[in-house]
Amino acid sequence: MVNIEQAGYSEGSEVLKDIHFSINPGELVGLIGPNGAGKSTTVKSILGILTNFTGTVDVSDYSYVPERPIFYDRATLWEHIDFLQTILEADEEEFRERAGELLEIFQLTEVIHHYPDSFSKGMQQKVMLILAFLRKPDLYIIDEPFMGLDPKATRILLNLLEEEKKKGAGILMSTHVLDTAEKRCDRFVLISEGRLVIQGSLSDIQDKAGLLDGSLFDCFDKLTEHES
Amino acid sequence: MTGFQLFKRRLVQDVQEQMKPVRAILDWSVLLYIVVPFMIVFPFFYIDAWENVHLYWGREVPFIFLAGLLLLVAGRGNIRTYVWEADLIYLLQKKRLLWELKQYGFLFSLLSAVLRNLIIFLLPYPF
Repeated sequence: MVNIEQAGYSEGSEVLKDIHFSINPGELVGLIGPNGAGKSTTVKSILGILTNFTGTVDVSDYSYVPERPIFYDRATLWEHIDFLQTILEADEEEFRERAGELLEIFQLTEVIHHYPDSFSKGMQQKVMLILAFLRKPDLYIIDEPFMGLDPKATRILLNLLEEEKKKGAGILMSTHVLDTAEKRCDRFVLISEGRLVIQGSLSDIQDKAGLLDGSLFDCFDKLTEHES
Repeated sequence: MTGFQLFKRRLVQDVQEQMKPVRAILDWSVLLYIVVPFMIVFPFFYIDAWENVHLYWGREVPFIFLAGLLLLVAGRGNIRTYVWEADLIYLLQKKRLLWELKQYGFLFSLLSAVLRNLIIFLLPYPF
Protein backbone atom coordinates (compact mmCIF):
# COMPACT_ATOMS: atom_id res chain seq x y z
CA MET A 1 0.00 0.00 0.00
CA VAL A 2 1.32 3.40 -0.97
CA ASN A 3 -0.41 6.53 0.30
CA ILE A 4 1.45 9.69 -0.56
CA GLU A 5 -0.29 12.82 0.66
CA GLN A 6 2.48 15.08 -0.48
CA ALA A 7 6.18 14.67 -1.13
CA GLY A 8 9.11 16.70 -2.36
CA TYR A 9 12.85 17.11 -2.06
CA SER A 10 12.90 19.94 0.44
CA GLU A 11 10.59 21.70 2.86
CA GLY A 12 7.91 23.59 1.00
CA SER A 13 8.58 22.11 -2.42
CA GLU A 14 5.78 19.82 -3.39
CA VAL A 15 6.43 17.45 -6.26
CA LEU A 16 3.75 14.86 -5.59
CA LYS A 17 0.25 15.25 -4.24
CA ASP A 18 -2.40 12.66 -3.39
CA ILE A 19 -1.00 9.54 -4.97
CA HIS A 20 -2.53 6.36 -3.66
CA PHE A 21 -2.12 2.90 -5.11
CA SER A 22 -1.30 -0.63 -4.13
CA ILE A 23 0.69 -3.52 -5.49
CA ASN A 24 -0.81 -6.91 -4.78
CA PRO A 25 1.16 -10.14 -4.47
CA GLY A 26 1.71 -11.75 -7.84
CA GLU A 27 1.03 -8.55 -9.71
CA LEU A 28 3.15 -6.52 -12.11
CA VAL A 29 2.25 -2.84 -11.91
CA GLY A 30 3.60 -0.39 -14.47
CA LEU A 31 4.39 3.10 -13.22
CA ILE A 32 4.13 5.32 -16.26
CA GLY A 33 4.18 9.03 -16.96
CA PRO A 34 6.01 11.67 -19.00
CA ASN A 35 9.50 12.88 -18.08
CA GLY A 36 9.41 14.91 -14.93
CA ALA A 37 5.97 13.62 -13.96
CA GLY A 38 7.22 12.39 -10.59
CA LYS A 39 7.89 8.70 -11.22
CA SER A 40 11.32 8.70 -9.63
CA THR A 41 10.03 10.81 -6.75
CA THR A 42 7.27 8.27 -6.22
CA VAL A 43 9.84 5.49 -6.12
CA LYS A 44 11.98 7.46 -3.65
CA SER A 45 8.94 8.06 -1.45
CA ILE A 46 8.37 4.34 -1.27
CA LEU A 47 12.03 3.76 -0.38
CA GLY A 48 11.69 6.32 2.40
CA ILE A 49 14.61 8.52 1.38
CA LEU A 50 12.78 11.80 0.89
CA THR A 51 13.14 14.43 3.59
CA ASN A 52 9.84 16.11 2.85
CA PHE A 53 7.17 13.43 2.89
CA THR A 54 3.75 13.03 4.42
CA GLY A 55 1.72 9.90 4.01
CA THR A 56 2.14 6.23 4.71
CA VAL A 57 3.97 3.57 2.78
CA ASP A 58 3.46 0.01 3.87
CA VAL A 59 6.12 -2.14 2.25
CA SER A 60 8.24 -4.56 4.20
CA ASP A 61 10.76 -6.52 2.24
CA TYR A 62 11.79 -5.24 -1.16
CA SER A 63 14.53 -5.13 -3.76
CA TYR A 64 15.29 -1.87 -5.47
CA VAL A 65 16.89 -1.66 -8.89
CA PRO A 66 17.90 1.96 -9.52
CA GLU A 67 17.90 3.57 -12.92
CA ARG A 68 21.59 4.34 -12.55
CA PRO A 69 23.60 1.33 -11.37
CA ILE A 70 25.75 1.98 -8.30
CA PHE A 71 28.67 -0.18 -7.19
CA TYR A 72 31.39 -0.19 -4.57
CA ASP A 73 34.57 1.23 -6.09
CA ARG A 74 37.06 -1.41 -5.19
CA ALA A 75 34.97 -4.56 -5.19
CA THR A 76 34.62 -7.16 -7.91
CA LEU A 77 31.32 -8.58 -9.09
CA TRP A 78 31.80 -11.63 -6.90
CA GLU A 79 32.67 -9.48 -3.89
CA HIS A 80 29.38 -7.64 -4.35
CA ILE A 81 27.52 -10.93 -4.27
CA ASP A 82 29.54 -12.05 -1.27
CA PHE A 83 28.84 -8.78 0.56
CA LEU A 84 25.12 -9.08 -0.10
CA GLN A 85 25.13 -12.61 1.30
CA THR A 86 26.90 -11.37 4.44
CA ILE A 87 24.54 -8.51 5.13
CA LEU A 88 21.45 -10.59 4.41
CA GLU A 89 22.88 -13.37 6.59
CA ALA A 90 21.60 -15.84 4.01
CA ASP A 91 22.52 -19.49 3.78
CA GLU A 92 25.86 -19.46 1.99
CA GLU A 93 25.55 -22.58 -0.12
CA GLU A 94 22.03 -21.88 -1.32
CA PHE A 95 22.88 -18.26 -2.02
CA ARG A 96 25.95 -19.12 -4.06
CA GLU A 97 24.09 -21.71 -6.03
CA ARG A 98 21.39 -19.19 -6.92
CA ALA A 99 24.05 -16.60 -7.74
CA GLY A 100 25.77 -19.06 -10.04
CA GLU A 101 22.50 -19.77 -11.85
CA LEU A 102 21.70 -16.09 -12.34
CA LEU A 103 25.23 -15.29 -13.52
CA GLU A 104 24.90 -18.11 -16.00
CA ILE A 105 21.52 -16.88 -17.25
CA PHE A 106 22.76 -13.34 -17.74
CA GLN A 107 26.08 -14.57 -19.19
CA LEU A 108 28.30 -12.87 -16.66
CA THR A 109 30.11 -15.95 -15.37
CA GLU A 110 33.27 -14.96 -17.23
CA VAL A 111 33.58 -11.59 -15.51
CA ILE A 112 32.85 -12.39 -11.86
CA HIS A 113 36.34 -11.31 -10.82
CA HIS A 114 36.18 -8.03 -12.72
CA TYR A 115 35.08 -4.67 -11.37
CA PRO A 116 31.49 -3.76 -12.25
CA ASP A 117 32.59 -0.14 -12.57
CA SER A 118 34.38 -1.08 -15.77
CA PHE A 119 31.32 -2.80 -17.31
CA SER A 120 29.08 -1.37 -19.99
CA LYS A 121 25.72 0.11 -18.94
CA GLY A 122 23.88 -3.03 -20.03
CA MET A 123 26.19 -5.33 -18.07
CA GLN A 124 25.95 -3.10 -15.01
CA GLN A 125 22.18 -3.21 -15.27
CA LYS A 126 22.36 -7.01 -15.39
CA VAL A 127 24.45 -7.04 -12.21
CA MET A 128 21.94 -4.82 -10.42
CA LEU A 129 19.17 -7.20 -11.49
CA ILE A 130 21.09 -10.26 -10.30
CA LEU A 131 21.65 -8.62 -6.92
CA ALA A 132 17.95 -7.77 -6.73
CA PHE A 133 16.82 -11.30 -7.57
CA LEU A 134 19.23 -12.74 -4.99
CA ARG A 135 17.36 -10.97 -2.21
CA LYS A 136 14.18 -12.93 -2.98
CA PRO A 137 11.93 -10.14 -1.74
CA ASP A 138 8.14 -9.86 -1.60
CA LEU A 139 8.28 -6.71 -3.70
CA TYR A 140 10.48 -5.55 -6.54
CA ILE A 141 10.83 -1.84 -7.25
CA ILE A 142 12.46 -1.44 -10.63
CA ASP A 143 13.29 1.89 -12.21
CA GLU A 144 13.63 1.86 -16.03
CA PRO A 145 14.96 -1.70 -16.28
CA PHE A 146 15.21 -1.87 -20.06
CA MET A 147 17.69 0.97 -20.52
CA GLY A 148 20.86 -0.47 -21.96
CA LEU A 149 19.67 -4.06 -21.99
CA ASP A 150 19.92 -5.93 -25.27
CA PRO A 151 16.79 -7.70 -26.58
CA LYS A 152 17.95 -11.04 -25.26
CA ALA A 153 18.58 -9.71 -21.76
CA THR A 154 15.21 -7.93 -21.85
CA ARG A 155 13.54 -11.24 -22.59
CA ILE A 156 15.45 -12.97 -19.79
CA LEU A 157 14.42 -10.22 -17.37
CA LEU A 158 10.76 -10.47 -18.35
CA ASN A 159 10.83 -14.24 -17.93
CA LEU A 160 12.45 -13.98 -14.51
CA LEU A 161 9.87 -11.39 -13.45
CA GLU A 162 7.13 -13.73 -14.64
CA GLU A 163 8.62 -16.50 -12.47
CA GLU A 164 8.78 -14.22 -9.44
CA LYS A 165 5.17 -13.20 -10.01
CA LYS A 166 4.13 -16.84 -9.96
CA LYS A 167 5.94 -17.21 -6.65
CA GLY A 168 3.78 -14.39 -5.32
CA ALA A 169 6.07 -11.39 -5.52
CA GLY A 170 4.66 -7.97 -6.37
CA ILE A 171 6.50 -5.83 -8.87
CA LEU A 172 6.41 -2.08 -9.41
CA MET A 173 8.13 -1.17 -12.64
CA SER A 174 8.67 2.39 -13.76
CA THR A 175 9.21 2.59 -17.50
CA HIS A 176 8.86 4.50 -20.75
CA VAL A 177 8.84 1.39 -22.89
CA LEU A 178 5.08 1.41 -23.30
CA ASP A 179 4.64 -1.42 -25.78
CA THR A 180 6.45 -3.87 -23.50
CA ALA A 181 4.54 -2.51 -20.51
CA GLU A 182 1.25 -2.95 -22.35
CA LYS A 183 1.97 -6.62 -22.99
CA ARG A 184 3.40 -7.51 -19.61
CA CYS A 185 1.86 -5.35 -16.89
CA ASP A 186 -1.32 -6.37 -15.09
CA ARG A 187 -2.16 -2.84 -14.04
CA PHE A 188 -0.89 0.65 -14.59
CA VAL A 189 -0.39 3.72 -12.46
CA LEU A 190 -0.33 6.78 -14.66
CA ILE A 191 1.21 9.88 -13.14
CA SER A 192 1.34 13.32 -14.67
CA GLU A 193 2.54 16.59 -13.13
CA GLY A 194 2.84 14.95 -9.74
CA ARG A 195 -0.79 13.84 -9.67
CA LEU A 196 -2.30 10.41 -10.15
CA VAL A 197 -4.18 10.48 -13.46
CA ILE A 198 -5.54 6.97 -13.35
CA GLN A 199 -4.73 3.54 -12.02
CA GLY A 200 -6.20 0.39 -13.42
CA SER A 201 -6.05 -2.15 -16.20
CA LEU A 202 -5.55 -1.33 -19.86
CA SER A 203 -9.32 -1.31 -20.43
CA ASP A 204 -9.82 1.17 -17.56
CA ILE A 205 -7.28 3.42 -19.18
CA GLN A 206 -8.87 3.01 -22.62
CA ASP A 207 -12.22 3.98 -21.05
CA LYS A 208 -10.79 7.06 -19.43
CA ALA A 209 -9.04 8.12 -22.60
CA GLY A 210 -12.13 7.36 -24.70
CA LEU A 211 -10.11 5.16 -27.03
CA LEU A 212 -11.71 1.73 -26.85
CA ASP A 213 -9.15 -0.12 -28.92
CA GLY A 214 -6.33 2.33 -28.41
CA SER A 215 -2.87 1.15 -27.52
CA LEU A 216 -1.32 2.18 -24.22
CA PHE A 217 0.82 4.57 -26.21
CA ASP A 218 -2.23 6.34 -27.72
CA CYS A 219 -4.03 6.48 -24.39
CA PHE A 220 -0.91 7.84 -22.71
CA ASP A 221 -0.73 10.53 -25.37
CA LYS A 222 -4.37 11.45 -24.97
CA LEU A 223 -4.32 11.53 -21.16
CA THR A 224 -1.21 13.67 -20.93
CA GLU A 225 -1.69 15.85 -24.00
CA HIS A 226 -2.57 19.01 -22.09
CA GLU A 227 1.07 19.10 -21.00
CA SER A 228 2.59 19.60 -24.39
CA MET B 1 27.08 -8.93 10.07
CA THR B 2 27.22 -6.45 12.93
CA GLY B 3 27.92 -2.77 12.60
CA PHE B 4 31.29 -3.27 14.27
CA GLN B 5 32.39 -5.93 11.77
CA LEU B 6 31.37 -3.69 8.89
CA PHE B 7 33.21 -0.77 10.46
CA LYS B 8 36.39 -2.84 10.87
CA ARG B 9 36.23 -3.86 7.22
CA ARG B 10 35.78 -0.29 6.09
CA LEU B 11 38.61 0.93 8.31
CA VAL B 12 41.05 -1.67 7.01
CA GLN B 13 40.14 -0.85 3.39
CA ASP B 14 40.47 2.85 4.12
CA VAL B 15 43.92 2.49 5.69
CA GLN B 16 45.08 0.32 2.78
CA GLU B 17 43.85 2.97 0.37
CA GLN B 18 45.62 5.74 2.24
CA MET B 19 48.86 3.77 2.43
CA LYS B 20 49.04 3.50 -1.36
CA PRO B 21 50.46 6.99 -2.03
CA VAL B 22 52.62 6.73 1.09
CA ARG B 23 54.13 3.50 -0.18
CA ALA B 24 54.62 5.05 -3.61
CA ILE B 25 56.81 7.77 -2.06
CA LEU B 26 58.54 5.69 0.60
CA ASP B 27 60.37 3.10 -1.44
CA TRP B 28 63.37 1.42 0.18
CA SER B 29 65.93 4.03 -0.84
CA VAL B 30 63.94 6.89 0.65
CA LEU B 31 63.38 4.82 3.79
CA LEU B 32 67.07 3.99 4.09
CA TYR B 33 68.55 7.42 3.38
CA ILE B 34 65.96 9.79 4.79
CA VAL B 35 63.44 8.21 7.14
CA VAL B 36 65.73 5.94 9.15
CA PRO B 37 68.48 8.57 9.71
CA PHE B 38 65.80 11.10 10.68
CA MET B 39 64.34 8.70 13.24
CA ILE B 40 67.79 8.11 14.76
CA VAL B 41 68.74 11.77 14.89
CA PHE B 42 65.37 13.15 16.02
CA PRO B 43 65.63 12.15 19.74
CA PHE B 44 69.03 13.86 20.04
CA PHE B 45 67.72 17.04 18.52
CA TYR B 46 64.65 16.84 20.73
CA ILE B 47 66.77 16.58 23.90
CA ASP B 48 69.18 19.21 22.66
CA ALA B 49 66.32 21.57 21.93
CA TRP B 50 65.20 21.42 25.56
CA GLU B 51 68.70 21.79 26.93
CA ASN B 52 69.51 24.84 24.78
CA VAL B 53 66.14 26.45 24.33
CA HIS B 54 67.65 29.81 23.38
CA LEU B 55 69.17 28.28 20.22
CA TYR B 56 65.81 27.17 18.93
CA TRP B 57 63.39 29.76 20.22
CA GLY B 58 64.04 33.48 20.40
CA ARG B 59 62.79 35.33 23.48
CA GLU B 60 61.31 38.05 21.37
CA VAL B 61 58.91 35.65 19.63
CA PRO B 62 55.69 36.06 21.60
CA PHE B 63 54.18 33.02 23.30
CA ILE B 64 50.89 33.70 21.58
CA PHE B 65 52.58 32.72 18.33
CA LEU B 66 53.28 29.22 19.66
CA ALA B 67 49.80 28.94 21.12
CA GLY B 68 48.33 30.00 17.81
CA LEU B 69 50.39 27.42 15.97
CA LEU B 70 49.21 24.71 18.34
CA LEU B 71 45.60 25.80 17.95
CA LEU B 72 45.96 25.67 14.18
CA VAL B 73 47.24 22.11 14.28
CA ALA B 74 44.88 20.92 17.01
CA GLY B 75 41.84 22.49 15.40
CA ARG B 76 41.99 20.49 12.23
CA GLY B 77 40.35 17.13 11.90
CA ASN B 78 37.09 15.77 10.66
CA ILE B 79 34.46 13.26 11.52
CA ARG B 80 34.15 10.39 9.11
CA THR B 81 31.12 8.15 8.85
CA TYR B 82 32.63 5.43 6.64
CA VAL B 83 29.38 5.34 4.66
CA TRP B 84 29.94 4.88 0.94
CA GLU B 85 27.73 5.95 -1.92
CA ALA B 86 26.72 2.42 -2.85
CA ASP B 87 25.37 1.84 0.66
CA LEU B 88 22.32 3.74 -0.52
CA ILE B 89 21.34 0.65 -2.48
CA TYR B 90 22.92 -2.22 -0.60
CA LEU B 91 22.20 -1.16 2.96
CA LEU B 92 18.99 0.75 2.33
CA GLN B 93 16.95 -1.68 4.38
CA LYS B 94 19.61 -2.19 7.02
CA LYS B 95 18.98 1.07 8.85
CA ARG B 96 20.34 -0.33 12.08
CA LEU B 97 23.58 -1.49 10.46
CA LEU B 98 24.08 1.91 8.83
CA TRP B 99 23.40 3.67 12.10
CA GLU B 100 25.91 1.49 13.94
CA LEU B 101 28.49 2.06 11.22
CA LYS B 102 28.11 5.82 11.55
CA GLN B 103 28.28 5.56 15.33
CA TYR B 104 31.59 3.67 15.25
CA GLY B 105 32.89 6.06 12.62
CA PHE B 106 32.08 8.98 14.90
CA LEU B 107 33.69 7.37 17.94
CA PHE B 108 36.79 6.47 15.98
CA SER B 109 37.14 9.97 14.55
CA LEU B 110 36.81 11.41 18.03
CA LEU B 111 39.34 9.02 19.51
CA SER B 112 41.93 9.61 16.83
CA ALA B 113 41.48 13.38 17.22
CA VAL B 114 42.11 13.10 20.97
CA LEU B 115 45.21 10.96 20.39
CA ARG B 116 46.59 13.28 17.77
CA ASN B 117 46.13 16.33 19.96
CA LEU B 118 47.66 14.55 22.92
CA ILE B 119 50.83 13.90 20.93
CA ILE B 120 50.96 17.45 19.62
CA PHE B 121 50.67 18.88 23.15
CA LEU B 122 53.05 16.44 24.79
CA LEU B 123 55.81 16.99 22.25
CA PRO B 124 56.62 20.57 23.28
CA TYR B 125 56.14 19.75 26.97
CA PRO B 126 59.34 20.01 29.02
CA PHE B 127 59.99 16.80 30.98
